[in-house]
Amino acid sequence: MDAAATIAFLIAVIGYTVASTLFFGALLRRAAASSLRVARGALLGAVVAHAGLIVWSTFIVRHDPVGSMQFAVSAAGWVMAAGFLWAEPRYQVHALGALTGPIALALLVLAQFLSTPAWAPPISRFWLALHVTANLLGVGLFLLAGVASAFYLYVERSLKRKNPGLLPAGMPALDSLDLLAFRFLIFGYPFLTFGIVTGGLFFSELGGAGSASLGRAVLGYISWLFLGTVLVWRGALGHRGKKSAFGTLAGVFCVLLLLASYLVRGAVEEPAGHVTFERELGSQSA
Amino acid sequence: MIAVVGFSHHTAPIALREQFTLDEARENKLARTLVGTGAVGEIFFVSTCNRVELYAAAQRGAGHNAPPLTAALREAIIAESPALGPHLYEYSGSAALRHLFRVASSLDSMVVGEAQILGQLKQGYERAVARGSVGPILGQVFPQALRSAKRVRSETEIGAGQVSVPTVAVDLAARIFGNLKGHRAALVGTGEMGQMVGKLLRDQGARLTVVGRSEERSRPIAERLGAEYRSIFDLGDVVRAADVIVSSTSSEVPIFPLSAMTGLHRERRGRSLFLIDLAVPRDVDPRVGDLEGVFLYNIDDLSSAAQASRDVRALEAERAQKIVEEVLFDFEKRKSAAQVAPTIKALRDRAREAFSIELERSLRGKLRDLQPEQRAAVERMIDAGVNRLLHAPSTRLREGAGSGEPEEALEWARALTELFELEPVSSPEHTSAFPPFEEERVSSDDLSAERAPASLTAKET
Repeated sequence: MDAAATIAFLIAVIGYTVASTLFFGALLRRAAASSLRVARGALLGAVVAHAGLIVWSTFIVRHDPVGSMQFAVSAAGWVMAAGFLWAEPRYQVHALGALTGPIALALLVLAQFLSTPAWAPPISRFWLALHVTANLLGVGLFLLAGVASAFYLYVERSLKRKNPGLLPAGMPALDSLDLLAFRFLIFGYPFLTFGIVTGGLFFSELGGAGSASLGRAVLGYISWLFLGTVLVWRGALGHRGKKSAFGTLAGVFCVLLLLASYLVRGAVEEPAGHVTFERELGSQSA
Repeated sequence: MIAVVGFSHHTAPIALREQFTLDEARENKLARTLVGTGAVGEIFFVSTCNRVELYAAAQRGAGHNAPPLTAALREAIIAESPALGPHLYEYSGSAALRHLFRVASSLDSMVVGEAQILGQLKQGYERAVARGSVGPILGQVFPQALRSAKRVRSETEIGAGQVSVPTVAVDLAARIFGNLKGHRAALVGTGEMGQMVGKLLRDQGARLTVVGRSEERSRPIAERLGAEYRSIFDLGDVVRAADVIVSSTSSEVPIFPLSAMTGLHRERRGRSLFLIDLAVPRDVDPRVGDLEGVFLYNIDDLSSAAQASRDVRALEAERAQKIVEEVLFDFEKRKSAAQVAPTIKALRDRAREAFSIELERSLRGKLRDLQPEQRAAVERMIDAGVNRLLHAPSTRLREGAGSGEPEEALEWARALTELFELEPVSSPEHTSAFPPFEEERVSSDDLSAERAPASLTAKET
């Protein structure tokens, strides 16, 4: 990392930390407007610095954003933080920042420890870039939906058990959390759908792949199906509440599992398609 | 010295409290009367439905004929309402300050932690400022009361939670739906507590429907609450549409049985429903609370939540009291330090004056040939000598006065004054120009003003 990138990284880390702390405070007790302004400012600073870091990584150092897990993890965190920044004043869900901020921070830091895999799949760079971007946007938005659903279940449980005293003063209203989770699912689902479709096309273009790739594809379809069911259940049929929240969490868990499987990809497998392509190249040059 | 005399819900029942209420005109009249006694220099009033208190500072240079401050305040109240005499309390000096800080911090309120009292206190003070009956003493004290109240609010959970059944119910509704504006609430039955909850929900912006068996009885209540009236036979439609239902009928059997609610719940398609059952025997089958998205609270549940908040506040009140003591200690420390400052200044002036006289004499005599620069150097040397000589006693005096036990330092100050024949410039408390009491603001109308109705006075709760 050069100096500018180090500074951007530090600003992002400090910004996420300050914002997380202040939003956590807003969860525990009703926050003063000035405190929320500082929290939003810190988060905005972190998001801008984080974006700068991603741009630096992509265009200056020229890490391949398509094949780089570093980019993927970092960008997922960025989408999540930016999505929260957009939703927080609109839905008055300051308290979600107590979880969103730390996750974005964790993904930012985690990205620094990931190396760029040597493997680059032999398919159209343009479509591959779109595929990765769509998936990352989807992951970021689903993470937010998952956070809102987790909070929803906690609030619902406290109210059902008649323990409202357990709810921190700054906890968002139950219906706001339900609505927010649904909105993020709606926004994220088209991206996931695009990612699933393009992923399927690449899978067949690579002439089939190893069992791990197949597992990832299946996991992708399951996530898509889960989240699609929740959307139909919640949106078209109008059912809300605990079942929707559990469905959202299950779908988000599958998406996270998918992301994690990409994280360990380089360590456990050598892509079958890649080998085939290399062999073909080798035989042609010979 | 400041003092407070008054009565509150702690000492006087409502039948007595309502005999003595203050509005602005009566405050003006009373302030003028009290200043006229020669005992009171500054005064402001606090008047709520739970307390009336007169905070006053003694008049500067009050003559020997002037009555003691607390006696003057007490007599002013008794003159109007003799029955209140045995119910009055009075504090002076530090005890008066502590009482003011406690009142401002809502530690003396009927509902500990309620927020309105601070606003009512500010209003009383602002009226006094506008009247011109606040001077340097109360002007120093009142910001400290605000400081204490703000610290208590921000550093403790004294205002946490809701402490009455109706407010707990409305707070829970907000926990479920957020902003209640536009949400539909239904009041089934016309029980008194149900009406209170309905009114609070409507005040929060909910659209209220009153459902009753008897139109003759229920419609006027609906109109008074600004609500729509529906017959009990429309209850199914009401349940389908409502977000919050408050039930307080005298029915002997549940009017929300599980079988009917299960079907209606299905039609609601998972929309959250908050059912508040205030009736005994209960109006809602307890099993209805097991339906997903239905939150059922009966009177015991709400009372428990209110009690839990009261318990939290009681614990926080102990922390709040410590804050009050800290602010009081800090204020008195600074006040004591300020009291010796004039003595220190007078001592230095006296020393400089003595040396200046001797210097002038020498400059006219043996030292008359000194050049201007040399004269200036000698003057600087004398000044430095005075500072060096008086540095240690000044420091000890200041530290002693600010130590929290300032009596000894104040005794030193008195001794210095006597030994060096100082004419101390008094502390601000004693010497600041007393603000002219603007008598012209008290009109003849005010003087003949009839007692204001209680409804016009500020409310504490």
